[in-house]
Amino acid sequence: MISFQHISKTYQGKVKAVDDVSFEVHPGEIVGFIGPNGSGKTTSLKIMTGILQPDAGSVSIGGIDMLKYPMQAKRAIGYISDSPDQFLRLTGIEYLEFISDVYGVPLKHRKSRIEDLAEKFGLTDALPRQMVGYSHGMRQKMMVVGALVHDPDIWILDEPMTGLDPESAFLLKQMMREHADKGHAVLFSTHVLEVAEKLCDRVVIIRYGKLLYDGTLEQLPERRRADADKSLEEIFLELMNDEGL
Amino acid sequence: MMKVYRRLVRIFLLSGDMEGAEQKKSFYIIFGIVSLLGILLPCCVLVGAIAYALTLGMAGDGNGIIFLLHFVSLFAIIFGIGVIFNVFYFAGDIPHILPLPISPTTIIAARFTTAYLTESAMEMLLLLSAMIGFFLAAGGNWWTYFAALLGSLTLPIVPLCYGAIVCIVLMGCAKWIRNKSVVRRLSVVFNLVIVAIAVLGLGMLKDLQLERIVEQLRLGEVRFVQVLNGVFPTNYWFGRMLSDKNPRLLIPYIVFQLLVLGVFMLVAKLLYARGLMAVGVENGESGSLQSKALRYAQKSRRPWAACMQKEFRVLMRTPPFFLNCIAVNLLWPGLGYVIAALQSDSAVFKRYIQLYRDGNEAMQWIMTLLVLGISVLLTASNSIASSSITREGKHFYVMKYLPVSYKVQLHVKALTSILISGGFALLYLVIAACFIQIRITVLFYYALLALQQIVFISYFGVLLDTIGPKLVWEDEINALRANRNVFFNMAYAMLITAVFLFVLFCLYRYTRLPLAFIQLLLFLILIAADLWMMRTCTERGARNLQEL
Repeated sequence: MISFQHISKTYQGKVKAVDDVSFEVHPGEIVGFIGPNGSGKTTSLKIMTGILQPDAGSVSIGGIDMLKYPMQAKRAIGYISDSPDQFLRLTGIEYLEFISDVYGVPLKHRKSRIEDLAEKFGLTDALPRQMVGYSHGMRQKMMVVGALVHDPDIWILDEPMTGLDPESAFLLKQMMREHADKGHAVLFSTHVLEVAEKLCDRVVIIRYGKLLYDGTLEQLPERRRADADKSLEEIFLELMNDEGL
Repeated sequence: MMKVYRRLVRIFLLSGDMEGAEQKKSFYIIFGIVSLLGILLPCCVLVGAIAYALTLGMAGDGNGIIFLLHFVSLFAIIFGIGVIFNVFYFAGDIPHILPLPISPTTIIAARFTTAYLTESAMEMLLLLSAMIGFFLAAGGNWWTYFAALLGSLTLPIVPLCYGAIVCIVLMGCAKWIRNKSVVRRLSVVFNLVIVAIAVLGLGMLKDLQLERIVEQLRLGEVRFVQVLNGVFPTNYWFGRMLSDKNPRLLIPYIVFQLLVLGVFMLVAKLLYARGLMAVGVENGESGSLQSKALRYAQKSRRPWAACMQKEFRVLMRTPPFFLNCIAVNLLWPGLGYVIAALQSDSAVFKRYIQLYRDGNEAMQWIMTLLVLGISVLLTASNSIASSSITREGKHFYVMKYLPVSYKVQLHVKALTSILISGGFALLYLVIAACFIQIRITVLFYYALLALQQIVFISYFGVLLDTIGPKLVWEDEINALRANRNVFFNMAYAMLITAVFLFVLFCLYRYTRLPLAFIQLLLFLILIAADLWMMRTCTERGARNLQEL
């Protein structure tokens, strides 16, 4: 559903943020995108969602080329960015109506979808209030609801758990699993390796803009030829310290 | 302590810079030069000319320049107080600075220095121009020239200190004010009240004659100046020092500056920390409730209409945007009222209106120029277009992942400016039409001309903001004040319009072409210019957005 092929991106001709990275996300998969700070995760996600243009390579979303047909490709994505401070002068409901209009959510589905998501995330009472008065966690929840209101096939989530309370984080993880089980795709970046370990079908590990690993968690200890009981955190730290990879 | 102070000043200055300015150095140099020629230079020349005329009218007496210095100081306080509140108490970096082991006195000294350096540059240039005007009329010697240079740099200190003291006392003592939204609302109300008082005050001057005012100023009989001599004694001593060529007046001038600075630091030492801590607790906005019952939209909107609605909501609900982009448009009828009130009884004014009504060609031409000029100023000064991308701030990238094409989004940005500026322009035209009794067909023609100008400047402003928007700002007011595109748009708009009107005026003056033909030509040229600018803005602007 997501095809990210030979993508490279350099900032101002100096800093190589992403260097010939390729991977795919298939239907029914939850893929964790892991890497240390400044490894190129957010840049890759921004290229995938059409925010940035790559210097080389191709991105396709649900079979649609993001570079050639960005509008059609963007419609298939639900994206949560790493900052929830958006449109703070709008009320929650105005924000969701705006997103619904932009994505062309029909009126008859819109109300029930908003009500359902707002109820699940405990935002119903906050909807008539301007988002400037929301806490960080509430804003993050609102971004989650905004990203899902048009029921996209593909979820691309940049650090989605940041700021969420345990209940909402649990709910989101549950929704991610349900979404993937329906045959859709979820790609999310995270620093919390336990979350990736429990939730992901596959992980993509990136460092200094280069792909380090792309595969299932079960295959990872074998490739490292280490003790199979090692946690993802231990393997990840080994990978980060291993210059040979 | 001095080392920490210097470091802080440097950090505060750097954090106010526009990101990407280094990469677009040549672009900013070219635009800077044009802005210098388009805005700064005319403003400085105007102030210098006023100082020259006043001094000449008073036979070299210093009361003219003192009057001007008071005026500049008053404006510095009016426009500076909002900035001081913002810089001292609501800057985004305060939560990061506060936990550091730096004394509040050092922090405020660094904040004050930053505000002085960034906010007083224009004021210093205007003061220098006023002094040049004075010297041209009254003459001077080498040390008065040196003192003038010193004065241009130091005269802004006292008004800034006054504003800072008021701000610190209010924040330290009044609990009700320690909230960002309260301060923002107060600042909107304060500015509107000041403008209203100024307009009404000037309007009441209609019975006064200019010669009488100059004579009263020379004799020191103007109550306004007498009061301000007490409030800003540095202005008085400085003006007297220049006119009397008395270097001894520099002593009270410097002593008073140091005294005020000392009082400011003392007040800051006593109250700044208290206010700052209180803001730390009470800052943040509750987010106003728009309606108690949750209301869903009754119909779905097209993406462009949804974007447009979002633009209007942000402009109307964000106090700094509302003040600087919407309420600022009310200045023009205020100015119109002042001119009308001052000149309504004037025989010359009445004669001009009569000439216009009788179909005098020169007056028709002047009216056309006025319509075009005011449309440009109105659109450029409200900065709706030239801050359209900047206003998105850090969440600018949302524009890029939404499934709405860049071209549509750019059209929406420009259309927002066109609707607001056009609405106000139409309102003023109708008022002017009633006053001068313009025929409805002519009014329609003027409205079309104004609209064409507004379209051009709006698309131009949006294009300019796509080249180098200031996306990182801590406070909405910074999105407008620290955004050079707003300034560039104004300068370019004025320059382009001035050249364009000059060419057309020459065509009218030196050819035998009938006025109706030139007006038709003007109309067609503006249509062509609009179409070209719309295309350039959406195509080039879309590429710029892609590259950001």
